[in-house]
Order: sequence, then structure tokens, then C-alpha cells
Amino acid sequence: MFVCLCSGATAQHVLEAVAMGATSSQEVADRCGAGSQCGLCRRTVRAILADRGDGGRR
Amino acid sequence: MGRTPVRPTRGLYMYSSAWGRRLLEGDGPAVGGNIDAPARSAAHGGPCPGGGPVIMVHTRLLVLSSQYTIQDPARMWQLMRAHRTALTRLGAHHVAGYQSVSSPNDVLVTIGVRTRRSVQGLLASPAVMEWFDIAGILDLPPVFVGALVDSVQFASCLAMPPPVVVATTAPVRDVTALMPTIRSTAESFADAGIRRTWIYGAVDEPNEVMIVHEMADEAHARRLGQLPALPAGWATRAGMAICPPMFIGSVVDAFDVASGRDVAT
Repeated sequence: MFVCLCSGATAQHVLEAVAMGATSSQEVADRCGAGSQCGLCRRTVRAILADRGDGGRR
Repeated sequence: MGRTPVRPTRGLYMYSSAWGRRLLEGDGPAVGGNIDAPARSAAHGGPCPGGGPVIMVHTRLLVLSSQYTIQDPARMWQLMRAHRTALTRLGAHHVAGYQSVSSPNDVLVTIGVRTRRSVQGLLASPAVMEWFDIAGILDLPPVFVGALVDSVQFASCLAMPPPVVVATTAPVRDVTALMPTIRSTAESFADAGIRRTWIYGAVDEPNEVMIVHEMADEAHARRLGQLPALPAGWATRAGMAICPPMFIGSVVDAFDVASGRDVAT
């Protein structure tokens, strides 16, 4: 699934960013680009973060 | 172009309908794709703006599918055809919209696209964003981009567009081995009211599929929705966080983008 239409980042990219230590949507954006432009995908990014355990609040 | 229609065997029909022939000729439904295209032909090139690989797909026919919740579905359905120009710029040839049978604000839209662009280039197209603007979406949902892997027909007569579909996106252990498993259980699929099943492989994830069952009616679809989306032993947990829930919906609109005509048999 493609998460970020602007950057072309996929769910796998986001999961890899999380696996590498990203704990906020900003850190995910910094690592893989998802949510770094228009930001309309950040809700999905936060959902992935929440599923991975940090609550996805940031 | 390879594959030819196959005679029905014990209730199992493959590409035997007039619609199936049109699909072989590249004139399939929005949820269709190029059967003869190399479905797993994603090749990875240089970096995309986000740091990931650019996915070049030699397959010219792709399906873009997205499931989301909107405030005013009626408005979106009205505007879909009015924005055919934007869809044409995208390379879309068919569009189909489905409305959930249980949550009317939940919709599934599939767009069949003929393109040579990279997937990232396609998704970053202003026409895609315009499409979501039409829907009044503020938070972009994940988008499945895939190519047809296979389809199996379980009924001799099909309605087009299908009145009700059950759609699932999920990671599986082995995409290529999934269809033989489905074929081997053809009779149970037919008994469950499944008239045809489409399997699309994600271009970005080799083990992710979107499965679309065309159903005989809503009652069968609801019953199917209570069962596991995949045959026993096929599901994998990896990647499930992003996958949308199973969608059971009835068709609202399906049309040919170029002509604006309804999709019909």
C-alpha cells in the first residue's frame, strides 16, 4: 500500500523507518519522506506508529 | 497474446464470458487489468523523493484502489463523471465506485489505469490529488496499486458491473500459489455465492494482494464477510497494520472514462 502520494513512500518504508527507531510522524517523515510534503498522510503514519506500540501521538 | 478462454470444468469458468474476452483485449472493468501483462514486473530504479526506490512497472494496466470514509458519498458519485478529464490525464480507462452495505459513508473506488509512468509519478500526479479533493477527503487513505495476477470465474453468467463485491487487501505467504488453491476449492466458492474472483498483486510488495470477489447478492456477501478473508494458512501478520478492513459493498457507479458510458455486459 502506498501511504504518501507525494513521496511515493509505502507502508513498508514507514515500517522500516519505525524499525530503525522513528517514534513520531516527524521522524518517519525525516527517514522515509512519508508525510514530509503536504502532510495529508500523517494520520495513516500515526496509525502505523500506534500499531507498533508507541501510540502514534506525536 | 497467450491465454485463451478455457472450458468450464466442474463449475469453474476462466475468461469464458464476453466480458472476459473484452478484458483480454484490454477493455476490462475498472478492477481489471491486463491478464497477459507480467504481473510481477516491478523493477526498482533510482531513489524517489522520499528515499525509496522508484517503481517502474512495464505493465501498462494497473489498478488503483482505495477505501475511505467520506461525509457525502452522494456528492462524490455525482462528481465522479464530471471529472472525467482529470481521470483521462491520469490514463484511467475505467472507474468503479462501491458503497459499503453496512456503513454508507465507507466507499471503495477502483480505477483502471493504462500508463507508462512510474508508480510514484502516477500517484504524485495532480489528477490523483484532484480525485481525492472531489471526494472531500482531508486525510489521504493508503492506496493499493497493483496488477492483475489472475481471475477465476465460478458462474456461467455474470452481471457487469457486479452488484456486490467483497474486497480484501492482505499480505499472503505466496501469491503465485494462491490461485491454484482457490481453483481447487472452486465448488465451495461457487456455493458461497462467489461468481468471480480477481487477484491483484501489489507493485510495491511482492506478497501483498487485493482479492475482489464478485458476489451473487448481498446476503452471500455478508455471510462471506464473516469468514476469514484468506484460505487457512495463507494469511501472514506482516504488513497488516496498514491494510484496510474487508470491504463489502454494492456498486454505485462504473463507467468507461473515455466515453462516459456505463460499464455493462
